[in-house]
Amino acid sequence: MSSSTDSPTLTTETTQLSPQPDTETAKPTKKITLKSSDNQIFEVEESVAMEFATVKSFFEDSPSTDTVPLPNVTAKPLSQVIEFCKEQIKFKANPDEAQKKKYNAEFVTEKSDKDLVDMIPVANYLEIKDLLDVLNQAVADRIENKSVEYVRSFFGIDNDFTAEEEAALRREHAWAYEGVDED
Amino acid sequence: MVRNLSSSLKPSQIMSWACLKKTERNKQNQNLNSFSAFPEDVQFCILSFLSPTEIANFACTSKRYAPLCQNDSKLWYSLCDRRWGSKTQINKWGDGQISYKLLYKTLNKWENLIGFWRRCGQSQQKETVKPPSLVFFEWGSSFLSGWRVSPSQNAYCVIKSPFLLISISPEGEIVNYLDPEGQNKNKLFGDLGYLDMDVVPVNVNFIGDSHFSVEENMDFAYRRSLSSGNLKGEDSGEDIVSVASGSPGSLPETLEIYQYYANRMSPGADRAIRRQRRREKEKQGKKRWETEHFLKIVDSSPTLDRPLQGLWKGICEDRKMEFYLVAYDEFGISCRRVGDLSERHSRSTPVFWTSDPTFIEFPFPTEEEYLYDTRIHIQPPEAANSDWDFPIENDAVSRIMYINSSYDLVILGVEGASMNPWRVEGRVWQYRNGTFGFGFLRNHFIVDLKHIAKNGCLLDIPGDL
Repeated sequence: MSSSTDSPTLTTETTQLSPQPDTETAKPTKKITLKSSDNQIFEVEESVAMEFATVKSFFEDSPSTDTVPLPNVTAKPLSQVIEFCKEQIKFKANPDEAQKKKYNAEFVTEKSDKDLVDMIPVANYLEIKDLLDVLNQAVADRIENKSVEYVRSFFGIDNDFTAEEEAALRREHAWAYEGVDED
Repeated sequence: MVRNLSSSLKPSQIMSWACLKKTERNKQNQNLNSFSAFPEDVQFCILSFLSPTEIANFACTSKRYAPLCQNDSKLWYSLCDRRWGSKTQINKWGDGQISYKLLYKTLNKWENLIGFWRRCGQSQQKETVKPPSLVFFEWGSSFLSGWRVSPSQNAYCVIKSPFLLISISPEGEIVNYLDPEGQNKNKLFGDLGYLDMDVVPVNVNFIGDSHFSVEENMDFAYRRSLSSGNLKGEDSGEDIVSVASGSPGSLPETLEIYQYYANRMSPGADRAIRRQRRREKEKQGKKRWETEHFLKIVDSSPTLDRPLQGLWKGICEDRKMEFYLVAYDEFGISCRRVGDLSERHSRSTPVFWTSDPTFIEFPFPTEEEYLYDTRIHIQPPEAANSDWDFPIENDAVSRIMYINSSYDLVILGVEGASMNPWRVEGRVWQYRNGTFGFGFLRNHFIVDLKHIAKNGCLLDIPGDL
């Protein structure tokens, strides 16, 4: 299964240097190439790529393609999404709800606010339902009990209220601001 | 250039300059992927993980997002579905004609009803047979159903009889119906059966989290007869004055409730009480239900730290089944009959108690083994026919605890040596399956206890209900 790590160093180097992937390298599992909007190439196992509903349907429509362009996705969030899906495949083969929960919790805990927010549109575009739920829950947790200002800066929302409008709104929701954490 | 500039600055200025740079950078990053960049269903999905407080908060971030927070079919539906979708059919409430926001607010309050409650004080009803004091609430498809729970005479079976239906009408009004006799399930919970004349419209008043009252909704009956043209009145449009706002004189003299009202009297309450009394007088003649109060049984099941805690049922020495409530508090453990909890002086009459909740672990001293081995487990009258299997082997006992039968005797015991410890001392034998039995040195019986409910479901309900 872990063919890429087991393959001889020389072959790997060749693959990286040559413009065309070396077709001679024997691979027990089929690989699929994903290309991010910033032109980075990701080679993933087919089973991982099939976790992405968008990629899956792309392949169903045109099975002969070897590279899937992902024009809406940049490299960093994509690499994190791939990392998540690789783990989910393991849990699919070997179901352990407690371990999966633990992994999912750790996956989001160690990410920065920006990483989380950046991954959401990617998970949505690639239609990875589980990841989207995990991310949305994590984002909701991070703005839990925070001030309006904090939420604005977290999501990059511009305040378009006048001072009077905002004061009126806050009076209306005064009960909501009791026990709000310091930013 | 930049280095020159920063080297000429004081440390504090460098700090604020660095902060400024950082905020600028953050701003830039965030603008790349702000909330507005998300597709609408992602926006709703994120919001659906928030609490109502945070949604109110989010509505304040900008004009653009305030309407999102009001979206009933997308946001409030998801909120309801996420929280209660597995317990009830949220699209069936109010015949699907009420807003999900209203449903959320309502269920958020009513959810607390789920579980066990006990009547506070004696039943005020006219019936000759005392109605059971234990009440249990569970989710229905588009309502909450409240049941009276009582011991049956048949082994360990529990009788569950209809008590209260709580729901929302398609117009968004709260509808509560009570079955005073609790005879017929279909009357209350069947299809539209609750419009039967035998059920009583009531108001359920929440007083804090652990107390509610059920009073007859006389205005409802009044309105109904008004609409059928039999009666004419002047004050039918007036707000219903709930019991929560006053009339302590008519309440059972229970400490909890009294304390509640003592703290709660508001300046306007006086007038409300007078109005309420006048109204009550006018309507007394037609009343079918006397107001009753219920207190929540918060700790109704055992935990790891409190293995004896909760509601139990057992056949006592007169061979009748009783419900017991074991409570842990700062003084230790006490066990009372659930029926006794409604009595006035319940606080002085536990079935057993101890101030030292430590167990003796296996292996047990010989005298303890003898004490257990020579005892008779009290069996239900029809034990021969039932499949009730109590632990007979001594090895089924995992731990033993010392208990006492009465407060009074022990207080006497502190003073004089004249008291016979055999009159008060007893044991709890905890079995390997987590249940336990108790008995006293004064006789040779063991009362074995079983769970009344497990995982939120009542146990041993005969199939026909």
